[in-house]
Amino acid sequence: MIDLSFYLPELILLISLSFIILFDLFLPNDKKEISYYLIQASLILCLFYLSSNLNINHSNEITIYDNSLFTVIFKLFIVASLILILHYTYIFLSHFQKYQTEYFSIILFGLLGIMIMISAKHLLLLYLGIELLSLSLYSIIAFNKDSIYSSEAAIKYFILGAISSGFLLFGISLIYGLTGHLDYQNIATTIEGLNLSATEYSVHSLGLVFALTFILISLAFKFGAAPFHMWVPDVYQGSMTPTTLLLSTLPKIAIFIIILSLTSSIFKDLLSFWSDILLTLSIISIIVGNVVALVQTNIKRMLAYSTIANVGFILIGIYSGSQFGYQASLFYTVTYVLFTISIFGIITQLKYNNQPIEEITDLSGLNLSYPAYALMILVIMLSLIGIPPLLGFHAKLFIIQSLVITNEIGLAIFIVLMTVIGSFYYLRVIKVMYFDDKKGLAEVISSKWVTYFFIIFLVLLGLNPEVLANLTLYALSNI
Amino acid sequence: MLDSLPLLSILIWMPIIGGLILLFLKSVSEKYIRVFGHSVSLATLILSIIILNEFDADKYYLQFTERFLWISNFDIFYHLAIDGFSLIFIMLTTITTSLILIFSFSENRAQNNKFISLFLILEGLLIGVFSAFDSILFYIFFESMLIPLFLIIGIWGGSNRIYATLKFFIYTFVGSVLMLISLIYLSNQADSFNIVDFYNLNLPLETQIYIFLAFLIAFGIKIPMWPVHTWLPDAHVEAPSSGSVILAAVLLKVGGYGLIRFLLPITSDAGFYLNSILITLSLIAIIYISFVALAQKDMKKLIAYSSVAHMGFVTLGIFLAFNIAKPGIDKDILLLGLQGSVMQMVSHGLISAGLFFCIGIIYARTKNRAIDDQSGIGQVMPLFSAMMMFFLLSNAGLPGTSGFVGEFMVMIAGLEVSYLYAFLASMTLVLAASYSLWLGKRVLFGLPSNDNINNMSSMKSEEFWPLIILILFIILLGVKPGIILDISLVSSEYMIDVINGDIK
Repeated sequence: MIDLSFYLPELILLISLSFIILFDLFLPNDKKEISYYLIQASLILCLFYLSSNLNINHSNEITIYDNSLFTVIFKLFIVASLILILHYTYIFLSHFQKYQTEYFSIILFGLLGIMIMISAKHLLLLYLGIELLSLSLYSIIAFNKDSIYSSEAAIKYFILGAISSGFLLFGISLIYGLTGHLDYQNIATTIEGLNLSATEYSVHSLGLVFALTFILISLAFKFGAAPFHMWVPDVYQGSMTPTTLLLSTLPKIAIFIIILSLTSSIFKDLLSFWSDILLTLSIISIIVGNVVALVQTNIKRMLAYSTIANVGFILIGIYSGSQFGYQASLFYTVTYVLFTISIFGIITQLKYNNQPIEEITDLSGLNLSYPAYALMILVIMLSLIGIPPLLGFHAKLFIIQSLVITNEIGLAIFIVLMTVIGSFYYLRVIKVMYFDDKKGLAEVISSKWVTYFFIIFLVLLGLNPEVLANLTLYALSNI
Repeated sequence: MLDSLPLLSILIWMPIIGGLILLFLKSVSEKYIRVFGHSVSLATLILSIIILNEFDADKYYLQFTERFLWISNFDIFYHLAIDGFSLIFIMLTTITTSLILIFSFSENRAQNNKFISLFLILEGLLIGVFSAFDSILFYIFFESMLIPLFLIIGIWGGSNRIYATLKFFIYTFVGSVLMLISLIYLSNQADSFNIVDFYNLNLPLETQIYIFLAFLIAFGIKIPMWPVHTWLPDAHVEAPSSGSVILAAVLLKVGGYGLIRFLLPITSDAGFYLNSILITLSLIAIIYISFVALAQKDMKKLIAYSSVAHMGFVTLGIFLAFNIAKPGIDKDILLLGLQGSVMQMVSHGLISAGLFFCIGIIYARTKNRAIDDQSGIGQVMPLFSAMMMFFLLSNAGLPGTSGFVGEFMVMIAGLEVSYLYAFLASMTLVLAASYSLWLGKRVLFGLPSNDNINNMSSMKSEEFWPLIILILFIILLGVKPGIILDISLVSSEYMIDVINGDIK
C-alpha cells in the first residue's frame, strides 16, 4: 500500500493546475487575475503539505521516488522562492500590460518537473523531470512575442537544449547497457561490484567514463557551466526580466541537487573520473564568467556572466567529493539563489523611460531619486563580491575553507584572485548609482515592502549565517 | 557596574547603529544632523576614555574580553578584547573621528547626513578591527571598513574620484583576500580561529614564508610600503579633506597594527630569514619616497608621500625586532624600536591629520591645491599659518614635538643592529625637513600672488578647534611620550618575548 501523503504536494500541484487552466478559459478578460491568486493559493497549499511532510517518519525503504528530508527541505525552499518570484512577475507583467495566465501555469509545470527531478532515484524519471522543466522554459522564454530577441533566445535554447537532452539519454542508455539497471541503488551496487581502478582501464570503466562524461556534459549545459555556457547570455538578455529571474534561480538549484545526488550515489566510486571533469568545468567557468562580465553594458548580460562565474564557484566545492565541500557548495548555491532573486527582483520593479531596465546606465543617479533602492542594490552587489558580513562572504569563506582543508591552496588563491577581478564589474553598478552626477531617471513601479523585508532578511541571515549553515548540514545528513 | 557591561561591543556598535539611524533619516535639518553626529561621536569618545581609565597597563593579559560562539559549525567566535596596542589605536580613532566631525561641519555639502553617517560607521568598524581577537571577526571588520571610505571618496571626492576610489578598493581587496587564505590555513593548523592560538604554532620555515608574504601583501598595501604605495597619493588627492584625514590618521595604522598583531608573533622565523629584504624595503620608502615628496606640485600629494616615508619608519622599527635572534643584540633596544614604531604611528596620525586639515582649509577658500599657485598665505591668515608651520615642523621631526620621539627611538634600535641602517634612516631628518619647510616657504611665506589668496577669509571656529587640539596633543606627547609608551610597554614586551621564544 502506497502512502499517498508523501506525494500529496505534487498531486495537489497537478490537480489545481489542471483545474486553473480550465477555469481560466471561462473567466472574462478583465478578471484573469483571479487565476493568478488561485495559483499562489495552490502554491501555499503545496507549501503547507510539504511542511507537514517534515514531521513524518521517513522509512528507509528504497523507492525510485525519494521523499527523504533532504528533498522535502529543498522543495520547500523552491516553492517558497517561487511564491516570491511569481509575486514580482505578476507586478511586472500587469504593469507592462503583458499579463496572461498561461505564463504562470507553464511555470507551474516547470515546478512539477523540478520536484520530480529532485526526488528521482531512477534515471528515466530524472530524464522526464528535466524534459518537463525544459519544455516549460522554452515556452516562457518565447513568451514575449513582440520581441525578436525573445524568439532568438528561445530557438537557441531549444536547439541546444534538445542536443543536450540527447546527450543525457545517450549517457543513460550506456549505463543501462553496462549495468542492466536504471535505478540509482542497483546501479551503485553493480558499479561497486566491478572494483574499478583509476589507473587500469577495463571495458566497464571505459564505458562508464563515457556515460559519465555524456551525463555531466548535459548537466553542465543545463547548469550553464563554461564551455557549455553559450546560450546563457543570449537567453538572459533576450527574455523578459521575470523570465530571467526564474531561469537563473530555480533550475540552477535543481540541477545542482541532481549533480550532488548523482555524484554522491551512483558515481560515488568513480570519483577519480568525474572530479577532473568538474574541476576543469569550474575553472573555465570562473575565468570566462569573471573576465567577460567586465565588458558588458547590459545588466542582464552582465549578471548572466556573473552566473557562469558563480556556477564555477559552486562546482569547485563539490569536485573534491569531501563532505565539507558538499556542504560549502550547497550553502553557496542557496546564497547565490537568494541574492539572484533579490537583484533580479529589484530590476523587475524598476523602469526607465517606461521600459524595463536593460542597461547598467539606466540605474544612474538612483541614489538621489530612490536612496533605499540604491542602498539595497549596493548591499546585493557587495554580497556578490563577497564583502563581509554579508551572506556572500560566508559562502565564499566556506568554499575557500573546504579547499584549504583538502590542501588545495593553489586553487584557493586562484578563486580569491578571480573574486578580485570579478569585484570590478559589481563595483561599476555601485559607481553608476552613487558616483555619477546625474539626476536619476529610473522609477519604482511597486512592491516596496516585500523587497525591503526580503533584503533585511538577507542582511540578518548574513549576520547569523549559522542558521543557513545548520540547515544545509541537516539537509545533507538526511540525503 | 562597569565590569558587567560589554563595553567594547557598545564602543563598536554605538557609532555603527548611530550611523545607520542617520542614514535612514529622511530630510532632517542640518542642525539635527550636527547635534546627532556630535553626540554619538562624543559618547564614543567618552566611553573610550572610560576604558582607558579602567585599563590595567601593569601586566599583559587580554582585558575587557567578550567571547561567545558566533558560528558554531565553523568555530568562529565573537571574540573582542584589548591589549595595549589596541587601546592606543582605539583612542586615536575616537579622538580623530570627533575632530573630523567638528571640522566637517565647516563645509556645505550635498547629502550631509550620509557623509556623517559613513564616518560614524567607519569609526565603529575601525574600533572593531583593533579589538577583534578572532581572526575571521578581524577579517570581517578589516574588509568591511573598505566600503565607507570607498563611498566617501567616490561620492564627495574630486574630479578623478572614480579612478582613485576603484584603485583604492582593488589594491586593498587583493591584499586582504590573500590574507584570508592564510588565516584559514592557520586556523586549520591551530584548530581554532583565535589569534592568540596562532602564536603557539610551530610551522616549518617554508610554510611560514608563504604566510608571511600573504600578510606582508595585505598589511603592506594598507600601511602602505614601497612599492605598493601608489594607491595612496591618488586616494588622498581625490578624497574630501575629512576623508584624507581619517585615511592618513587611522586607516594606515591598521596596516601597522596588523603587522604587529600577526606578522611579528606568527611568522617570526620567516621574518628573521627575510630580514634584510624587509629592512631594505623600509629604507627605500624612507629615502626614495622622501625625494619623490620633494618633487610634488600638489600639496596633498606631497603630504601623502611624506606619509609613506614616515610609515617607512614604522615598518623599520617593527622589522628590526626580528633581529632578536642575532647574537649580541640587546633585547631591550629592539623593544625600544617596537615602541618607537607605535609612537611614530600615533604621532604621524596626529600630525598628518593636522596637515590635511590645513590643506582642506586652504582648498576650501582657493579651490586650488597646486603649490605654485599659493604664496603669502601668512600675510592674510597669520594665525592659521603659524599653526600650519607648527605641523610642518613636527612633520620634520622637531624635538619637543611627538614627531621626534618615534623616529629617534627607531633610529637607536637601528644603530644596535647595524650602523648602516641607522645612517640611512637618519637621512630622513634632512629630507623631511627639506620637503616640509620648503612647502611652508612656498605656501605661507612671501607676498600673496593672486586675488584668491587676498580674499581668503579667516578660520571659522569649526576649523580652529580641531587644529588647536591636535597641536596640544602633539606637544604633550613630544614632552611626555610616556603617556603612550606606558600603555603599550607590557604589550611590546610580551610581543618581543613571543618572537624570542619562537625563533629557532
